[in-house]
Amino acid sequence: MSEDLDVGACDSEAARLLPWYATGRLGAAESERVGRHLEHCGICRADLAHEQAVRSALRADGTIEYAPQAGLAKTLARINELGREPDAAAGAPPAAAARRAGTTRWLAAAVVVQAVGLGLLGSALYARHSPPAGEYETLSAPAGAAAGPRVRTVFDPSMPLGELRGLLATHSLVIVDGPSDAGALTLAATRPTDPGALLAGLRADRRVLFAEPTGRDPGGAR
Amino acid sequence: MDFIGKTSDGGSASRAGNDLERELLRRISSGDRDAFRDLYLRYHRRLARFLTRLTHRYEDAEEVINDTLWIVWQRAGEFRDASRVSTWIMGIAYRRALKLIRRAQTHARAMSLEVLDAEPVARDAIEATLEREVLERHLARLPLEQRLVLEFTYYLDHSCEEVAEIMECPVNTVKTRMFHARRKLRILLSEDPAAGRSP
Ligand SMILES: [Zn+2]
Repeated sequence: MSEDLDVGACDSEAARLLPWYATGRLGAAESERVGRHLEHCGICRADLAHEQAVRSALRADGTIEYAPQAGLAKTLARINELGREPDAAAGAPPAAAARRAGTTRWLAAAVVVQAVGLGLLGSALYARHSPPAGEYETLSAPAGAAAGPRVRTVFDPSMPLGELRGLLATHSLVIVDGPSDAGALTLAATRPTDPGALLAGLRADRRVLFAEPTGRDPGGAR
Repeated sequence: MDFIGKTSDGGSASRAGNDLERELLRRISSGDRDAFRDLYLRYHRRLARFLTRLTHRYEDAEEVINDTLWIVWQRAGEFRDASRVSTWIMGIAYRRALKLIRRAQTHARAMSLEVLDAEPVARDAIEATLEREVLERHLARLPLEQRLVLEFTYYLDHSCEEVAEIMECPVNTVKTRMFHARRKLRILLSEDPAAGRSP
C-alpha cells in the first residue's frame, strides 16, 4: 500500500468536493475553489485522477443490453387496468383484455403478500366498523353500511399489516373489495367525507401507491 | 485552471434534458401514453444497470423501474419545478429500491445467509472488462448508503445537493458518505491483486 492510497490525507474542504468536480456538477464558485486548490495540492491531483478512473470504469458500457419492452408492456398494462384515465369516455380502457392476456403478472408478488396478509387477519380488516366486540360485516357489506365515498387503492406490498390497519382507521375506511388481479383494494369511508380530501390524504401517504375514486360501482361492468 | 477537460458536461446538456423531461411529465399528467413511453425508455436505460448492480437481479431491478414509472404516471401532475425531473424520479426509485432491498435482506436472513457472498462475484462474469468487474465486486462490499452516493454521483451524474434531495439527508451527510465510500473502495482495490496498480 503506497501512501497516496490514503484518501483524506488532505483535509481541505476541496478534497471532499473532488467527486463532483470530476463530474462537472459543482457550482461555479465551488468549482473555482477546487480548481485553485488542485494547483498546489498533489494529493488531491492524484485523488482526482483516481476518482476519474473509478467513474469511467463504473460507466463503461457492458455487453449486456437491457430490453425495456417487456417492462414497458407490463407497466402500460398496469396503467390500462388501474391508471387514471383522464379521458375515459373516449375509448374504453382494455382492462379485461389486459387481464386475459395475463399481463398483470408483475404484481404477483404484491398480490401474494396482500392475500396472505389479509388471509391471516381473516375478515378483521374487511368492512368492519364500529368495533362492537367481534361483530364483522361480510365482504359484501350491505350498501349504506359504509356511507362515504369509495376509492380504489394499491398499497406498498412491503407495508406491515398493522400499518395498513392503522391507515384504514385514520381515514375511517373499510375494505369492501379486492385485491384485484392488479392488487387493488376497494375501500369505502364509513362516514360521509369529502372525496377530494380523502384522496389527497391517501396520496400524501408514501405507502399508498395508487388512489383513485371508483369510477363506477365496483364489480359493475367497466 | 481546469483539471477536467472534456469529461465534465453537467451544464447545458442536462438542462436541455430537463426541459425535455419536464415537457414529457406535463403530457403524462394529461394522460399521454406516448410521452410515458418516451420517459419510460429514457429511465429504463438509466436505471437498469445501476439497479441490477444494486439488487443483483434484473427481475428486481425491473420491478423497481416499473413501480417507479408507474408512480410517476400517477403523480406527474404533482411534480414541482423546484427540482430537476431526474432528481424527483430518482428519489422515487431510491425509496422503491430501498424497500425491495430490505425485503430481500429480511428474506435472505430468514433463509440463511448463503446469498450474500456468492452472488456479486459470479454475476457479471461475461459482462465486463476486468476493471469494471473488479470495481463492481468491491462496490458491492460498501455499506448501502455509501454505495448509493457513489452511484448517484458517478453513474447518474447527480450533484451533491441533488443526491441529498434524493436520499432526503443533509448535504454534509452526502459528502461524508462519499468520503467514506472513496476511502473504503481505495483500500479494497489496493488489497486486490486483480485490481492491478492504482492509476
Ligand atoms: Zn488537497
